[in-house]
Amino acid sequence: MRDLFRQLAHRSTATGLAFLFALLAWHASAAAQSITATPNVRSASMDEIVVISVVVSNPNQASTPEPPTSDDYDLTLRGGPSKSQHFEMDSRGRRFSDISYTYQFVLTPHKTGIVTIGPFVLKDNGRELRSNPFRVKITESAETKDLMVEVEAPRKTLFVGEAVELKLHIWLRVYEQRGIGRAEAGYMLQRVQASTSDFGIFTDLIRQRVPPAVKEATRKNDQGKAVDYYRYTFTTTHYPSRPGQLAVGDIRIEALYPTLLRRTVFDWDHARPPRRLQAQPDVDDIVVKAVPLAGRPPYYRNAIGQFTMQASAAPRSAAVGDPITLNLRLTGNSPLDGIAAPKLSEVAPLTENFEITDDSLAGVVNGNMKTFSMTIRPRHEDVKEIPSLPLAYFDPEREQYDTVWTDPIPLAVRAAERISVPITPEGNGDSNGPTELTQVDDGLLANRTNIDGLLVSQGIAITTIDRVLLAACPLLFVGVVVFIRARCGGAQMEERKRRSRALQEAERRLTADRSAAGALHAMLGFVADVSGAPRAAVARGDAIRLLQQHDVPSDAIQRFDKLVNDLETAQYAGGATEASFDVADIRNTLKSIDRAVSKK
Amino acid sequence: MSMQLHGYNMLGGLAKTGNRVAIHAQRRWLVMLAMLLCLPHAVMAEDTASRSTLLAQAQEAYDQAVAMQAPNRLKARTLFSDALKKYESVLDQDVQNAGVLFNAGNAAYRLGDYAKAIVYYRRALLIEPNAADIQQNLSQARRQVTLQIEPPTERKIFASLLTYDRWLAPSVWKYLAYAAYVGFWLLLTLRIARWRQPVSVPTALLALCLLLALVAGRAFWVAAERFENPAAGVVARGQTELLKGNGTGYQRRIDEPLTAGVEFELIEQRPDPDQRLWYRIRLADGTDGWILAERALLI
Repeated sequence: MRDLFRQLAHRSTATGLAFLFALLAWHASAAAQSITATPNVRSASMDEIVVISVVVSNPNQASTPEPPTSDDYDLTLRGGPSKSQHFEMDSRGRRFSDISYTYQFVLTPHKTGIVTIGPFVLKDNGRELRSNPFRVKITESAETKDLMVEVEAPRKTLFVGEAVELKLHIWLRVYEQRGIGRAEAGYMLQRVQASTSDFGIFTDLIRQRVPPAVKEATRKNDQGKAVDYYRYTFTTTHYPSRPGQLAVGDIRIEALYPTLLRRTVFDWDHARPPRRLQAQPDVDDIVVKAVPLAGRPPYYRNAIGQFTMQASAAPRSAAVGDPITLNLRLTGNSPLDGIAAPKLSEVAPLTENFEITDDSLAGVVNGNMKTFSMTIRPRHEDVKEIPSLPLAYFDPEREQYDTVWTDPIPLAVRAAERISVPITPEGNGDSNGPTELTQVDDGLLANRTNIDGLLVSQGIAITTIDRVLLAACPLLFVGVVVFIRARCGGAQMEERKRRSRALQEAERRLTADRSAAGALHAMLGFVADVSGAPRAAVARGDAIRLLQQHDVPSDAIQRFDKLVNDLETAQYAGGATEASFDVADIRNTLKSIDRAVSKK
Repeated sequence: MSMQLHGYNMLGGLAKTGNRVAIHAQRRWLVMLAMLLCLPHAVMAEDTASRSTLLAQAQEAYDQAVAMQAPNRLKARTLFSDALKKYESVLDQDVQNAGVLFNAGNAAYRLGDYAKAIVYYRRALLIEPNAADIQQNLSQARRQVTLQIEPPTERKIFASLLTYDRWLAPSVWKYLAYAAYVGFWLLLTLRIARWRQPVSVPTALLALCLLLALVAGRAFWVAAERFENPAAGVVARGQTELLKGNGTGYQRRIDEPLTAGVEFELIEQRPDPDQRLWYRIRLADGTDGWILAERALLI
């Protein structure tokens, strides 16, 4: 038993010691300084980018490791280091931290073949740490380039101060994959890595998120085979500032070109790591020259290009000293932003006859036209026209100066009217009559300040409620009609139908039976129909009473009574026909009764 | 047996619980319904309070700016701009109120933006066509426009006859139209239905109601259309060339460039090959031509 305890104690001591050593070893490794360099690819073509990540762990001071130098390649640092730190705690609550800095270097190979990189050197408090060297295989670029960059200028020779429209073309080969098809222009544009690319003088466009013009175009590769590309064009106006080769800044475009894509729910995704491509434009053949001093004409105001100028003035008829608006319209084939207004104060024929208030206006550009507006005032009434005005410019095509003149504008200038204002002493009026107040038209009326009134919605749109109301009325009408008809039942409906057709029925009877009995039957039947009484039960007396109940005028009742009386007499006399009574009179009487009943 | 009993008890318990749940569910529904009914009012109340604050702040800024305009122009300008932004913020919240538009127009006028002021005044006049204060300030803003274009007299009279809808406010037309419309259907129902005692409804009255409903309805419809789909505008920027076509390649239509504040009637809109929108407009004197859309404001 004692041996057993001894063995156990021995084992636990050994385990504890082993654990302690492991912990110390771990701590020692966590705090150890090291440097490692790893490329993103081991094989790349000349137009691809190889990014080398150099990780420095636990340095005493964060200093950039020195890259190796070689004639075979260049290594350039890309941006600042990214720092990562994580903490661990031991059983006693002590905290250990592990800090690492990652630097990224871009490899630009100068030759194909196997290139040996390394080592990267870090000098840290007198110690020198070195990364392991490694090798990268560099191959020739493919015959068909996937990414190309060009800068296009309007001409190969430009001039200092000239406003030049420069275009940056980024060509990306249209990616195509069986099962997915052709990648769209928008998707391909997103492959361009704006964050790691340099755009030189086009940077502002990228910052302002100006979308490029997109065009699908075909180019031939080195083997003469047609290849489909998307061409993205950014356009900017550039003013070359010094002679020599055109300076467009550092332009270097990076793109992640897909190698294999798969379709996800929302977008496409890389099924295989993409190729990291880069391309730079070649602007060596675009030269900037200084505008020659020799032969520079007067009135030259930095206009470089080809221009025409027109002048207009309003009004054409004015008094001496009156303002005349003079508009000068400059039309040109180059950007007009930097062109200053013609210096009219230097045009002697104009200044002799006109006062010029301001000739330093900026002008307003509208398309390929720039308008300068200024006010001039005729000095005397002998002025007959606004003289021709000059504009001198340098034509970069012909590389010489030129001057254009506007047409003179005829004017009619009259002498200024002099108004004598009678001076009236204040308060010198002896009239006691009412004073007519003078309204002052100038100035604004005050705001409306009733907040409750301002919050009232005065919307004049046609709303859903309006539409519902419009539809509801006829529907309600139909509903009411249907309801009433259903409620009244067949008998009442029949009765109402009978009332409404009483006159028609009486007419039918009069036509069908032309005897006195027939006419009498029609008249009494009419009253029965109108009153809703049974036809057989209505005699002469009943008819009179029913008509009185309907408030039929007494003269109509009397006429009705007389007619019925006549008909009864004729009927009992026997053989009475239409000739013995007036059917028209019967008709008129019935109509007048019908009108009276309907009105009620 | 015990299982059955247990089951019975269990079912009974479930039934009781079910009843309670049903009662609770009913109450919950009632509460939810009440909340749903109250929610829009609460949201509306919150919106109203926020707009009310904005309007009060805008008015305060405007009043301060008017008071200090002479001694401190720069500060006044800042305050006018602040007031205008606040009024525009209220208008952006889908508020259609002639007073707010009028005040926004006043602030724009004070800032010297006469084109915008005219737009606001004219929009306010669509809601209240006979408001004297809006008309007067609109006249004042129009007087500031450099290029004054006088319409021919006969055109004025003709336009006045055609646009009878401007005699009254659209809201008045709306109420008139509804009153006449509802009245027409009511009278027709009375006439057709006749209930127990026949009701005599003169045909002339029916026809009058229908005519009034049509005339007032048409006036309101036209006003609503004009408000929603503006067919008029104002040149917003000076030196705007009136061209003969929708592109800078076209010749000028008139010699003088249009100045800010010139009002026009919109005839057509069309883009150019660079996808820039152009308006074909007709000026007050009947001259028509094209201007870039970005240089104009629609009413």
